[in-house]
Amino acid sequence: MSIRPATKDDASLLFDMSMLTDQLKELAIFQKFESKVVISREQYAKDLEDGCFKAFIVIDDETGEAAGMAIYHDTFDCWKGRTISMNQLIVRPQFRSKKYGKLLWAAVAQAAKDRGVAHMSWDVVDWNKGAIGFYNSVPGVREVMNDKGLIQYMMSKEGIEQFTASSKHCFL
Amino acid sequence: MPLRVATKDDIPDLFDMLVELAIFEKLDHEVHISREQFGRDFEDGCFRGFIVIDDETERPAGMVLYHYTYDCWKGKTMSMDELIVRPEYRQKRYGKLLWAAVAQVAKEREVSHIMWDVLDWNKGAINFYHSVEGVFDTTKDNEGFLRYKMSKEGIERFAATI
Repeated sequence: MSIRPATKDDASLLFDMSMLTDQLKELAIFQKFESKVVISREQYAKDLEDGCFKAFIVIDDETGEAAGMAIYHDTFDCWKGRTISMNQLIVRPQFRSKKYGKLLWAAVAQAAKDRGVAHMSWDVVDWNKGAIGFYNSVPGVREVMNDKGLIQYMMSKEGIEQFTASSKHCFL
Repeated sequence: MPLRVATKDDIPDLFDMLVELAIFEKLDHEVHISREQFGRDFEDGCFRGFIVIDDETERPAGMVLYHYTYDCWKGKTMSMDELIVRPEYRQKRYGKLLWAAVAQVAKEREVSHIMWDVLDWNKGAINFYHSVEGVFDTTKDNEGFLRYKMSKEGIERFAATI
């Protein structure tokens, strides 16, 4: 099993994993007021290359295929300082139950720790019970919003410290 | 022209106004960042801003901050923060000037939308934001902050007004 930062050569792979997931099509429907148009593959690749976002990819041991990904980008909270927003933590259905989800999350948490963030946050749709259970399985996660079908979670600086410390063995 | 891009020399005034807004919102106990760290983060490019210096008094009358964000489906987006006009400088259209300046940056960056938060009891701010087309309120968080968005079309139209 290997996890690594995504490079610009991974853009198409990331795009396919994120855009072709049924869950995310549902999320598009959820965001009713916006048009259904999504970013093009070319623009997504350009944005990755320009550093608008970063990502991690997990490659499955047995098959050598891309098993999952997580995207994140630097943000800022004027009252707290640097923060990170995590998005699109995805593990392909055929690669579930291999702890790749926690590995990806811990990799983003490590990046958050290295940046010295005050917290990291991410969204989940409220019908995604699996994801909700997954995120609540780690200490230091707090729900900060639950409205109109969308939940936002936040992991504090202390939660990030604890989580990265307990996940160190995953990266060996 | 009272509005200009904020520089590191403006940090003391920006921070003062940020604290004033937090006090007004009764949330000043939530401001954990120090003035020094705020200044360092500005110099590192974590956020940018505009400041308005009042014509008559030559004192800082207002400000707005912004930073770049990303939506994995829509692409580049922006977050607008701390849009403040000090009470003694109201009714001079500084609020719209500051907001439109951010919209102009958003337009140049070709973002899909701008987002910002407003407390649900802040009727003045809510009316102000709804006075411009292309603005939607979306979700509300557990502390009572409403998340607003301005669409790409709204940005185009609004940026053209300055």
